Amino acid sequence: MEPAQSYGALEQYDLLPPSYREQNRARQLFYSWTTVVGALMAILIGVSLATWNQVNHRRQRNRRIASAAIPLLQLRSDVNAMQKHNQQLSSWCDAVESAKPDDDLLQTLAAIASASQPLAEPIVIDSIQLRLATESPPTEDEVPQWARPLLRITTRHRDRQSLDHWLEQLNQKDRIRSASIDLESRKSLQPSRVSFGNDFSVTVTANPISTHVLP
Amino acid sequence: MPAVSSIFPVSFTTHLSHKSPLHMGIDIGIGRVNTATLGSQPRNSAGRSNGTCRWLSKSEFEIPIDPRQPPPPDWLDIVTATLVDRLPRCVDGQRVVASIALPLPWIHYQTASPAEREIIQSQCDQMFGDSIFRSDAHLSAWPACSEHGKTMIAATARRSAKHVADAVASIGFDVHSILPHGVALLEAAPALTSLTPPVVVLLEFSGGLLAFRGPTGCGLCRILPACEIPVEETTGSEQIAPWLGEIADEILASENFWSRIGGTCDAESPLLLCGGAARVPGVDALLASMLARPVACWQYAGRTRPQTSRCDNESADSELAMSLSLACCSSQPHDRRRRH
Repeated sequence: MEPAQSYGALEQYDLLPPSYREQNRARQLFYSWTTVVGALMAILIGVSLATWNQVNHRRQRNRRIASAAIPLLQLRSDVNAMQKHNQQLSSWCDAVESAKPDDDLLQTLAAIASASQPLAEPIVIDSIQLRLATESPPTEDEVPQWARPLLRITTRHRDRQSLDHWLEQLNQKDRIRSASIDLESRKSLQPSRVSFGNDFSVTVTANPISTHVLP
Repeated sequence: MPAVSSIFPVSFTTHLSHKSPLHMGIDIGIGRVNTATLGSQPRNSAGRSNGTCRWLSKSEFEIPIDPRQPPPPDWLDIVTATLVDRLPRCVDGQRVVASIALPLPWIHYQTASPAEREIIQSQCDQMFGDSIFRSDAHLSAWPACSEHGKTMIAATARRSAKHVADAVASIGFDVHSILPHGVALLEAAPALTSLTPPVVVLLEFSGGLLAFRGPTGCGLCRILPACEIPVEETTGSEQIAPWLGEIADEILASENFWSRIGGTCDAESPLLLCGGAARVPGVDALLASMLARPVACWQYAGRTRPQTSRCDNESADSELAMSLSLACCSSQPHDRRRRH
């Protein structure tokens, strides 16, 4: 039994109100759009949730880093402050030090005097030439002659032993180093040379020590 | 659940199924509902492009309404509730297209000239508004005979049509159309009975219908009187002969009217008889003698019938004529703008 294809359209006989079909169509359209909107909303919500999570994580990480870094910064600033303070204090110390009057000359003389105290035979000092190290122009490689420290004592004495004893004591002083009889004056120790009575003059050269270079 | 399932009238899976849809006709009577399902034969190995229609199944169930009593005010609700309860469900994934016929008393037939359409519309609105339906009317009109002659108007309450369609759709069917009885019978008769009758009579004890075939398909339709004689199972045609005489008079009068408005009715072609009252043996012979023209009982001319437990004699076909004709009509393409 073939279904006949040649029937006329049945729309004119239909007792079903067209509003029924229109309602169905509208309902299906509504649901399809609702599905589309729902899917888009789901995507939107998912993406926003993911982004919010990411932002949160980043904030937490930054907070962690900051909390770890703050004591470090504190320490650093403390150290800087202390360094500055120390620098200031040391500069004050330097200022105080430099304000002290320079008494190297007196000290050297006092050293000579104290070294000469207990002597068996008196030694007569004729002259003392004392030159302490002075500032020299920095352009020269070698320190010039006039800037070098020098101590030359011209003495008259009788006894060689007391001279040696005095030299020894001079050497023990911190202010005087390498005190020795000058080569030139060793000749005067020969008994054949004419001298003033039984005394003979000796020149002692030594290296005076000073705390700093005189300006 | 009908409220929820009415949100999604047709499940989505049915749109995706490759199977061709089944066609169902739902004939709603006053006290009973008949349904019949037609389907296409599956393609055989030769791969025929057009499957033939096979009668797959039938069913009937009762509506708790007494045809002899005056109609209850909630008739529409009872009908929709019974439909939702008792209609055979469709298998998930199988699309079923259904055509529905409303109870005969719900449809008002009238002939009028084409210019009186608005008047008729307002009259029908008022009539149905005052009735138990309390809604305005939906009219369908077609030319009774020729294009410029009288128009045949069938009117039903809009609310009743919509509610019945909603009830059927809520089960999962695809509602194709709601058709007047005569239209369905005349359209489907050539395919299902291999007859092309010029006039079809739907004979029911509670009031039947007469329809003439016009040049554009269905032409004139007339309501037939109900049977006053109490009817039982064993009633013979002799007992209802007076009523059949009334029917015959009405048919003859209608034939006269039909020929007056320009319709032709070949006296030698058989009159097709169907309906519940046509099951009574001898009715067709009696009517043929009263009308002096051949009368043929509606009989399904297909090869296969649905398997049933009890053996029906073939006179039971006439009761299912309406539902089978509706099923056949639902297989026609309906609306060009439909997206299903």
